[in-house]
Amino acid sequence: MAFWEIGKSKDKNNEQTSNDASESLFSTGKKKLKGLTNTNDSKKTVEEDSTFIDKGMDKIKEKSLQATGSAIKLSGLAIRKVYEARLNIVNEFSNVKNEWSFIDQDTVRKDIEKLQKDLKDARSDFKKDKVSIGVINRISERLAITTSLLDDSLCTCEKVIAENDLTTPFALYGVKSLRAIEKHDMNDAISYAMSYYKANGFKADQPQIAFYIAQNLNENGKYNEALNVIKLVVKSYPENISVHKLLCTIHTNTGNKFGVALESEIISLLESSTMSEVV
Amino acid sequence: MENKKKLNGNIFQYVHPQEQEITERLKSNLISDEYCNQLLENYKLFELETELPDYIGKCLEVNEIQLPQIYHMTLELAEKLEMELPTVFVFESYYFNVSAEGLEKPWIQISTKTLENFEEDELRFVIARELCHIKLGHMKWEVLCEEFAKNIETAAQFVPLPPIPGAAITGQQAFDLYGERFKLISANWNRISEYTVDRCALATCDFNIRPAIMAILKQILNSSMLAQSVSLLSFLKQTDAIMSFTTNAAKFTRVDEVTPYGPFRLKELISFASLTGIE
Repeated sequence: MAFWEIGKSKDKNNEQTSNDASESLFSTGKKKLKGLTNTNDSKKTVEEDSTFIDKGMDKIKEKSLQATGSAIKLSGLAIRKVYEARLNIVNEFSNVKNEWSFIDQDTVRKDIEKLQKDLKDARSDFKKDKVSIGVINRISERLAITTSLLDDSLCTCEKVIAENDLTTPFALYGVKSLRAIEKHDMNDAISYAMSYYKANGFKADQPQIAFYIAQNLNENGKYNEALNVIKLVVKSYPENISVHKLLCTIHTNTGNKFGVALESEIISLLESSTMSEVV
Repeated sequence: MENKKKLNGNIFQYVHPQEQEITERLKSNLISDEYCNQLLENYKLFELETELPDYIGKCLEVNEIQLPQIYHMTLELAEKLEMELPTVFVFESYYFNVSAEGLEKPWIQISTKTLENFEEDELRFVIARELCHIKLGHMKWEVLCEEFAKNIETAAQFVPLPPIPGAAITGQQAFDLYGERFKLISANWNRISEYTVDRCALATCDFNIRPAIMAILKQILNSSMLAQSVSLLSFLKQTDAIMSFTTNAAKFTRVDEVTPYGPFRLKELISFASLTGIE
């Protein structure tokens, strides 16, 4: 027998065996089906089965409703938790330190809130002899100065001074300088500004007053002092043309050609209607 | 500009005052040094291997023969910054776009629209910005921010975590929240790094402020025509309008940005320039 024939004869045998087995299964199946459909007993079985299935379905419905209810509650809780977590992230990052140094009203308001809280804590500590009155005065002054930076807030600033019985340089002279500026009484404004500057240890902590101090110092030939004072104003109001004009004048007086050139360019940029007009 | 202030090679003195603090914060949220090293290794093995052939294949490499003026400009700036000259590619794009990419051997890519529409001094400023990113070691943190964010997304999909006990939120939601928080931390770092390179690039370009401002305006507005139409003073006042939105949602949308808003950038740049003029 050739080798290809050996397999064939074996396959033939297997085929026969498997055919017989399938036929046998099919016959059995057919008999069972006949048995199921032809008798009264099978009908009864179907009815019983149907009742059983209905009862089962009711139980399933009940369980699934319970599970859904729990799932809804759980998902509601989860949604709330996720929302709260997101809100915490928002709060954390909406109160981050500003990346810029110029004055903006929102930051000033936040600073005022913080200082009010610090003042309240300091007063409480003062009662327990934990801090001195000097600490309270410093915070109060800081609060008064910061309040003065808000637009149209001199009355509030004066109220802060009155409520805290402040007698600091800003309280005595600074706020009066600001009032005079508001009334365009420049002689008084500069006079009070210089009194504030001297009483404050030759420091200017309020940028609006600092501008007039720098101006006065420049006019009196104290150029280096003027440059020192005007730094706060430049940081606080970099878009203000008057600040750059004053700075340019001071640079001219000190012979700082680089400073003069730079400030002249900035002034030109700020004064032009559009960038296309800048030479 | 006459009598320019010369860069003394130490660009690090002009870094934004908050950069160190925010870099530490970013680092502490990147899990561990070992994990960071893994991310950087993955970047080198996979991302670079797929990106670089594309650049070499689809862009124009700048050299002494191809776009020699750009080559020599970049070389001059790199020498000023005392750093190795990176490869520069020019790619086709409808947007004004200049960026530094890569890690150990970073490259700079400039869009054709930038080359065609920027004046020489404006190009000098934007190229200087990217060189400063490289010089100051920002590339590592930029890569880590991107890779870490991608990792969180991938982990959320493939790492099955059970619900967090007592928290009623799933592992997926926890990953999402962590990812959102990290995104804000990295956005904060990105913004500070942009302020830093604005300052450093201005110093590298001899405080030539007009082209610096024009370049920034063109990039923000993606239009030379629009940039020419800007009134700088009006544009800077837009900071007040932005800051007038005080809800947490509004604040959140500010801290979501990877680049600072234009009016803030320009105000800070002017302030920085003037203060440096005083020093």
